[in-house]
Amino acid sequence: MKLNDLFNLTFKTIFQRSTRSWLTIIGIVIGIAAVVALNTLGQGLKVAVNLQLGFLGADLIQITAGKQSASFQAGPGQNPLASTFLNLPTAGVLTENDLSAIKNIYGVKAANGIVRGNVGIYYNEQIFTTTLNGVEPSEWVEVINYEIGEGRLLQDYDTYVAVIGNAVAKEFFSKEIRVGDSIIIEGVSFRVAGIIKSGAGFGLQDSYIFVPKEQARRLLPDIGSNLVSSIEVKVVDSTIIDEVEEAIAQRLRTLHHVSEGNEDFTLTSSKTIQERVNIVISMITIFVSGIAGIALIVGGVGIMNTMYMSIMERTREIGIMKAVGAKSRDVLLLFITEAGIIGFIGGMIGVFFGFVGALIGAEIISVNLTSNIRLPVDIYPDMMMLSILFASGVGIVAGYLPAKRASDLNPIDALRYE
Amino acid sequence: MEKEAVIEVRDLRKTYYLGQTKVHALRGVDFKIYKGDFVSIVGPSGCGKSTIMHILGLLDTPTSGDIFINGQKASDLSDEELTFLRNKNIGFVFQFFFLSPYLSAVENVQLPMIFSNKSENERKKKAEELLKKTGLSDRMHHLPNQLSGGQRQRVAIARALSNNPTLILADEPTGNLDSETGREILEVFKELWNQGNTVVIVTHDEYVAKKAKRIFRMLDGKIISEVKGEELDRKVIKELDTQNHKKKKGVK
Repeated sequence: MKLNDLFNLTFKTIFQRSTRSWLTIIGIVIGIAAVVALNTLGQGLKVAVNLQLGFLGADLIQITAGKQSASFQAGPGQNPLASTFLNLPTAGVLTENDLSAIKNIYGVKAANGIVRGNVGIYYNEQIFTTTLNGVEPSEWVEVINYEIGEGRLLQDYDTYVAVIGNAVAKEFFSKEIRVGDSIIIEGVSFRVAGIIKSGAGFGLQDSYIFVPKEQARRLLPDIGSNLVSSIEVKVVDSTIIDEVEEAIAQRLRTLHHVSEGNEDFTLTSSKTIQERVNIVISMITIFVSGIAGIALIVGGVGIMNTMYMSIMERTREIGIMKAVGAKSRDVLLLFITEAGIIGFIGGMIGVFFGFVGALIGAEIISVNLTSNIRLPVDIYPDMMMLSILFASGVGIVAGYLPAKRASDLNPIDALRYE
Repeated sequence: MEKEAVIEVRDLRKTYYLGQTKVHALRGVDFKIYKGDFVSIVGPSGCGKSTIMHILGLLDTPTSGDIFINGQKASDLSDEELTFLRNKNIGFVFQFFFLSPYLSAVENVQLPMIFSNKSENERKKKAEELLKKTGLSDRMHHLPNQLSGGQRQRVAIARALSNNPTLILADEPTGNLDSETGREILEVFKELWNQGNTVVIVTHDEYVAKKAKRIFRMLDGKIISEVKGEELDRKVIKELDTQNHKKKKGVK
């Protein structure tokens, strides 16, 4: 049989039995679309998370009270994820004394001591509880990795002035808070000087309120007058972050009279956060790959099933071809070509719908997120090519078995096949 | 002068199993068919006449015994060689037509020629010529399901002729057609024989059988008699005539 006759006959068959062919193709489309959609979304998730991490800045160190660091380097036999999330910090405090010591360390550009606690905010006859951050304005503006959206940041001479997160302004109350409005925090009136732009970093600042530290201490009397909740440090250059981190740790150990390994404080640089997040990302990747793998198997079995049925019911047709002088090889070639073409068409349509599905999925995820983080949906040609190849391949493999079986029959047995 | 045997079978036996039951379809069949013969094999259903036809057409293999096609022993041939013979030497016409439902009449006729690697031009020309010959020049591009039974059988006959076979085998070619159409189809076979083709027809219809030059009667897997077409006993002819008379009356 000649090649053009082979394709000619195959396409005639596919189009003449279009309903059956399309049903087979749909079976393949579903499998491939699921795989492509899941993979595209999974990749998008990774890209989105990495993008968000980029906003954290590579030159920041956060110091919190209590020991947490054992979890960062999991010991042998220890599940790194479990220790990351389950290790509770030991007791410990940070003081104003620690803060001024850190400010004097070489390589520290700014150090912001924060007094943090939950407060009730009264506005438009509604009360909402959120996190209050008392900061040192001149240091705060240096260490932040987010920008002001409206109004201005805090300044050193400010009294009873607040800067609020985007969500506080726009979502917490039925009436939007604007720059210049007054809000009541724990019974004290503050004027809103600025609203932070939404979305950077982890987006925590979206629901935060920032006021000068002295006023925060009055609103949060439970925090000792000499204590700070955490300290944020910015180093002069991100290349020396490791050295500065070590210098801070050494100074704090001396001040707290603790030895190395028994610290009652925790240093977290954006680097360590990245490490932790990477664990989460790899977990997500494994999860998504697992689902995609299952979808692939289901899709593959579906392709095999439809192809097998489609050829079994045509055993008589194979008998006809053999009766008029088709070699077994010709018959095999015809059916394998058909199976391959159907797999290929199904794969292409599946890739298309998978991509559309990923777009819709990303849209749904974005709508459900409070901040305006978007899941990027990109075209991954390798993955798409592989999916089409897989569909064609599985089609051929699935077509081979029944076609081989039928072409090996005596023509008369194939003709008699019901 | 010894005539050239197109096909010869010796002590052909075929046994198959239908569930638990052993069926002896053929119990030792011998005959020779010569070039230019017109043979009918006649007998009641289940006598093995279709089985012998399938074996002659190389569509099935006997349990024991030999078939010689143009002097070549079929059991010595590979699957590939059998396929080649089936394609070049044998034209098979089935009771149920067995056309490819996805191909038009003219494409169905071309199918055997596709498998023998004929060029497209040659194929088309030949197929159109054959369809004209079988009286289907105005139905060439119809699909089988757009054709009547008789028209389908004409397509099947044209297909059987496409590679100029040395032997035309027809298994109950009129069995699925009304008597009028059946007679027309029979005329086509007779015409083919007149043109020098070797034709074997299997039938249970005495009227069809009578048209042949040699008639093999089969019963229970054996050939019980061979008669010349002209030697049909008077009783049978008389019977047939009255039957035909009745049929004609019924039709008109």
